[in-house]
Amino acid sequence: MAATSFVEDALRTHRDQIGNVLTRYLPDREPRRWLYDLVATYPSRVGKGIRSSLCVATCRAFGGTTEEAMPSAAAIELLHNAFLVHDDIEDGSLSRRGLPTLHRQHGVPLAVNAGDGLAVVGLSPLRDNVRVLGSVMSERVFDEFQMLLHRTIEGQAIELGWRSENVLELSPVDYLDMVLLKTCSYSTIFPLRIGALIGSWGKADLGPLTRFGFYLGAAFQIRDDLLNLEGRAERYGKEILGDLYEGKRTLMLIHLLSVADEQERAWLDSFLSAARGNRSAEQVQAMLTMMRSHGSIEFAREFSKGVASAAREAFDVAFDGLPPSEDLRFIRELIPYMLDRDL
Amino acid sequence: MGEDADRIQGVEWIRDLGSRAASEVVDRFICLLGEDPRPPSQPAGDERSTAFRQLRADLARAVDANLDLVRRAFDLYAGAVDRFLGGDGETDGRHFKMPAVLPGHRASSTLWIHNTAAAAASALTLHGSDLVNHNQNVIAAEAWRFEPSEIDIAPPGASVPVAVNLDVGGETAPGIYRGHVFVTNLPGEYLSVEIEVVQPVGVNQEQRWRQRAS
Repeated sequence: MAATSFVEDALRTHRDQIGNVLTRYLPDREPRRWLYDLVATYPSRVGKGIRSSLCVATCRAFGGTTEEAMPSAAAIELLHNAFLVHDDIEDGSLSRRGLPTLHRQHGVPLAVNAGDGLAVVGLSPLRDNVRVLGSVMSERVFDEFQMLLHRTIEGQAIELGWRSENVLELSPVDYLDMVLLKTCSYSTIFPLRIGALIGSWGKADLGPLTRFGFYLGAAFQIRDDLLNLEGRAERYGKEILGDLYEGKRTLMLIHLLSVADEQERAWLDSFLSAARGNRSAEQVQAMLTMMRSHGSIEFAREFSKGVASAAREAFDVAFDGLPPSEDLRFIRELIPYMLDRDL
Repeated sequence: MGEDADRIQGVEWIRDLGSRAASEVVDRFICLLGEDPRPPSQPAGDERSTAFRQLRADLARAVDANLDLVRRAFDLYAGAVDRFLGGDGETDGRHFKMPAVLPGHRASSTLWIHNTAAAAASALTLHGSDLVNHNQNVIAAEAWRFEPSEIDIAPPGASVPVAVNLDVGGETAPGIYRGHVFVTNLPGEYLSVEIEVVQPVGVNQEQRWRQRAS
């Protein structure tokens, strides 16, 4: 079986399982029209389910069961969707998973409240952990979730701050620091840590898993940013070139800012200090052309390959000595699946 | 050829930059988490320990379930003791509330006396203080009646019931009266007591009708 097909089959199986679990947590009561229908909107749009799958597969690879990981996986999925609702508003994004963003469908006030609702619903599975894992392990898992939440909102604050104050003096390390907090924490690092914590019943060394999770998540994020510039809209699911309209500090933009001449830099400063609504399609195309001519896209692509290579090495250390299993194979094959897609 | 070599060198340099920058960032983060950034000397998975993993998980759950059972049993027992100590009055810690009474009637309740001493307690007697309301009206201590008048509580920690009666005089003013009940030889066993003397319903109307008639 081809690696991609194996990963996609495993993701599909997991999506069916987690979908049933999420349904149990989504409230089926009034007020539906203004709250709970909105709360269910993003979870019901089919995503890849990589974060929750990673948590479950890691738990099983370390000797645990699906049932033991499922409440934490559900919490990860619900909190991820809660973040997306608020991120879309903060970024002024137009589409999510191939459909209009929640705030475009229902307006910002109701969408903000629905995002809060999703975050509240996301806490319920953590309460269920006590029944499944006992109080001591549940407390340790809760500590991990608390770190996950703190790091994620810190990363989001840093990125929003960069855009709000039009910060231009940034390096690749600044970018990676932000990505670690904003993206890797809840996408890869903590799903891996939580899965291993439960699966090994507290025995796993979480440092190497953190390292692997960061490399995997960071390489994935750079690839995702590249797809935003060069991907196909029907597969990408989000607005192509949306990052340029948003003035998002991607590795490509950071590279461009570091190599642009004085005149180009002044133009970029002016473009990035304007509100999103005042950025025209022509300006966005001009910035894309500038990135191409200065090799910023090539730089980001090669940079991500360096991080991806580190991820492959870190995988071997993080999972060294575990018995072979389908779950371990799934995690290993997730690396090319996440890092080699559509570029 | 030279350009290709330069290009390859450039590509290698960028990839190396990516790898090194990412390593620097994650090392710092792992240190912040209070964990060791160096690779472990032991492999992540030890088959001997994973073989015992399920046993440890089951044990943790079992201990948790048993602790929960003990906690629930304690709550149940404590609730029962609490209710017994109150008899048909209401106790809240060391506070005992007798049922409300009309002037000229007897208030009755049951009080459980707990032997808090380390040894058997014998020839214990109960006695109550004067009860006073906010207007300094008094129900004298002589109004208390305890049955039996003398009690023995053989094993330490045991409890016995005592019938508590209070004869309220016909002229006693309505109001909430407060005082104490003590147990001889058990210095730790005393209760603050509260009883409400209520005004008979209809008295005011009857007085008003008499005034109209006259």
